[in-house]
Amino acid sequence: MTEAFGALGGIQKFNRDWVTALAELDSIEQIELLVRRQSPVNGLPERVTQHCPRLGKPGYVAAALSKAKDLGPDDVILCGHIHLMPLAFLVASMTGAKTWLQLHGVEAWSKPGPLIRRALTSTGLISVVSRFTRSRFLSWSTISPHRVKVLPTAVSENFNPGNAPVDLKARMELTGKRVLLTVGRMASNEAYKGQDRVIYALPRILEREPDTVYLVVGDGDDRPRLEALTKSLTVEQHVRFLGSVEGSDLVSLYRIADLFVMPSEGEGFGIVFLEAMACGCRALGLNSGGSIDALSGSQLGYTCDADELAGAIVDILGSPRGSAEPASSRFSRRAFDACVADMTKVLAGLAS
Amino acid sequence: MTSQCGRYVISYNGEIYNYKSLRAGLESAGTRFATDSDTEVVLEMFRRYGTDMFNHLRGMYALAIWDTLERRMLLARDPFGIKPLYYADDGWTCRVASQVKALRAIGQISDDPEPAGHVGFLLFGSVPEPFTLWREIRAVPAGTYVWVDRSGIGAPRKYFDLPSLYECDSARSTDDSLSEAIEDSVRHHMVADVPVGAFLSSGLDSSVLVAMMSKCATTPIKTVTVGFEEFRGTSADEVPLAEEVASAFNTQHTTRLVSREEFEQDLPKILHAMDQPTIDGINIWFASKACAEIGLKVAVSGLGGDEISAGYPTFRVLPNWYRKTRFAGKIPGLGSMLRGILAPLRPLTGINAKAVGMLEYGGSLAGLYLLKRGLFMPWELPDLVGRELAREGLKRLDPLENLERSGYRNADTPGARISVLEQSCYMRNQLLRDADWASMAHSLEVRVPFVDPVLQRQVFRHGRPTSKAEIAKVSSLLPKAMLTRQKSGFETPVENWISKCGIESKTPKATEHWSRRWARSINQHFGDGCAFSH
Repeated sequence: MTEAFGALGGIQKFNRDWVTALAELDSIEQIELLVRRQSPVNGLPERVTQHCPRLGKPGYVAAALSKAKDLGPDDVILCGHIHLMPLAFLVASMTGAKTWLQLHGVEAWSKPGPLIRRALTSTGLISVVSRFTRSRFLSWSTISPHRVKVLPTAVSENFNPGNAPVDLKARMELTGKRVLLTVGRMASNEAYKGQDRVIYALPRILEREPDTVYLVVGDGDDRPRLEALTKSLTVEQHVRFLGSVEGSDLVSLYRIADLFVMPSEGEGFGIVFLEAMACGCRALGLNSGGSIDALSGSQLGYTCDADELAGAIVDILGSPRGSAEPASSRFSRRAFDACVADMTKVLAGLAS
Repeated sequence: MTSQCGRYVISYNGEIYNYKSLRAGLESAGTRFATDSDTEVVLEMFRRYGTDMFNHLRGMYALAIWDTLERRMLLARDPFGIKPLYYADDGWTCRVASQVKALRAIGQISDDPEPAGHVGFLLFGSVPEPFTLWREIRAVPAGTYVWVDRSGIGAPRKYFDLPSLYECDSARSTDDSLSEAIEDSVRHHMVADVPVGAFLSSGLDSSVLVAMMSKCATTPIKTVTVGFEEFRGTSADEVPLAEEVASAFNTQHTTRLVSREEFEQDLPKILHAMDQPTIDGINIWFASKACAEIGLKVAVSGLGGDEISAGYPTFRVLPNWYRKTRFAGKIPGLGSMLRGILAPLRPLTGINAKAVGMLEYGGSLAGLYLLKRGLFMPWELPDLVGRELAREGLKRLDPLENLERSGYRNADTPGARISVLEQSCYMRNQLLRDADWASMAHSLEVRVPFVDPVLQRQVFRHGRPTSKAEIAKVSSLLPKAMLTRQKSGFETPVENWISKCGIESKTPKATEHWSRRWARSINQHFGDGCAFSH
């Protein structure tokens, strides 16, 4: 894995949840993590140790090969990124251990090089974060579909529908306003999160809901373009770029927002949809990509086509708020742990 | 139907021919049945024996059993794949149906094409399982079962091994045992609460079945022969000899003539009913239609007879080809180099497309089978479907590996190996599948006594297929002309019709065999894989 315990980020959180769920199983004796980047760690689950070999990639490969001598056919190599598969394949070939690869999203959407493709043929089990990523992966991979399972991200219990600080809305001058919220990177080389779509839709939204304010959380080199866009559409008074927000401040924003909207075209899953819904905020995404899974179609949240965005936002703002419970229970840690336990049985039943 | 204990719920398509004896056994063990149906027997067998029950069922079936306690579902197909079963698993939801069309009709399944399905159709004339034309839809392989639980669909587990039917038995089969085996299978396949009729061609297989059915039945059976004006007076005309057989066995016989006009009228319905692309099925369509017209709900077919009696040219040709090419075909690169040289010269030399691949595919029986049965050759595919679809399709299908999975190498004799290949490929993917969609479109159930593990185990006790001559000995009443008649298959004049009815592909080569032109047309009808892209 590149990173797990002690590191920030969605993939890192997934890795922690994955390892923690495995460590709680009676059938697992010991988990040794080799990570690429060292992070300060405050406690690890029982039976888990985390190592960060020095000397870059050569050191990492050497450490993996060194560990290989302890592995046997009853052991499992967890591979947290498709780019690490050639190394996992090498270790598995030397030891007879089975390999379990986790795919997160965009890295699995297009065909990788022959080395990785060759390595993938040896993989026992592949779990993917969403049906969309599974489908994209199977479009180029010849791996039998029954080896590819969906293992969606769990939403942390920190995200819940408790109360926001009483004066937060007043401090942010949002009293009486309709609040739209997006949380996501603003990277110019990606630019798929869809903040620009919301900004383009604002004039039409403001015709029906003139007190609407759009909060944009996140940062990146695409931010100047988005800020310029608000000016060119003369909606800059209705858009606030808040930069990076984390922890309890982010939870508070979810709680005061009327609608979390992220019309992204390229989500592998979209954990932020779940975080928002778990905080009691309604969520809207596009009818494409992994967002559909996070929103469970329209069972938990809302989906629409890109050209219906403004109308969909206005309609949702005019409807009553729902409950946070369905999202937090469906994508709870408990559900995730049960899913991981099931997959260990699947892996045990597969020929290596 | 729900089991009496309430735990299991079954959705089931097919017939269990030995359900009465199974039921008697269960009743003697204390089971009380609420209905007379074979479905309830299957449920009780599953409750009692779990997946071991598949070793006891004799019949054709596709089934799904939901276990309400374990919250998981069992999917299974009969040993030979007589009844179809498909699933679409998107990672969250697994949908199951007897037809690809039914799954497509749900509307929530990806439209992404499966290159292996498109390429497989052009190679073989039918889509090789487990593939379909759509990536998300797959067939449950014949002779396997698979569990679906909250982790999704599991790995298919084989409960039936076709090559094992050919294991030699020291008690050598006699003519009598062959006759008894066929009679036993026919008796089982006639278990029904409605009259059972028969397709009757002028071939030996259907005639032998009619002979046995007449022996087993208490009243004259109904038989149906399809004839064509175009064939009148030619050797392809099935009608005179079939009528002679019908007369010999005193059947209520119907000769149903089909014209080009009727073919043209039915063509839209045929294409609509065709679940997956195929170059066959027209004959069974009209035979089934004729049966339905005279009120039959069940008909017996001689399908499978050629597979157990070495009736195809492959049984004669492939061992000969293999002897000639086995050594040169194993020299790495030689075959592909030769093909690379010869293929571009084909327009000048007129050399056959299959001949240029003889060395490349000559190293194995599977390769030669692909050559012999192949409609288009792998190296012709880029011109048909584009380079990328052809490459992806061949990679995903891996046609030789697909044939290897039949396990034909585990059979001991060349004849047995070819029989395994024929039953696993042509019979399963084309004949049986076509029989299903074409008959079901007319609410007719087609039963195939030759496609029966009990019969085949008996027939193959020598370790090899039987012969037409052996089968002919089963009845002394068969017309002499039948025994000397050249094999023609169950032919239709589609060759003449397609060029006149407007379906034919816009870009056929005039000299191309009609089956290849027909395949091009069918391929276009099914979308040509044009949605494929990367």
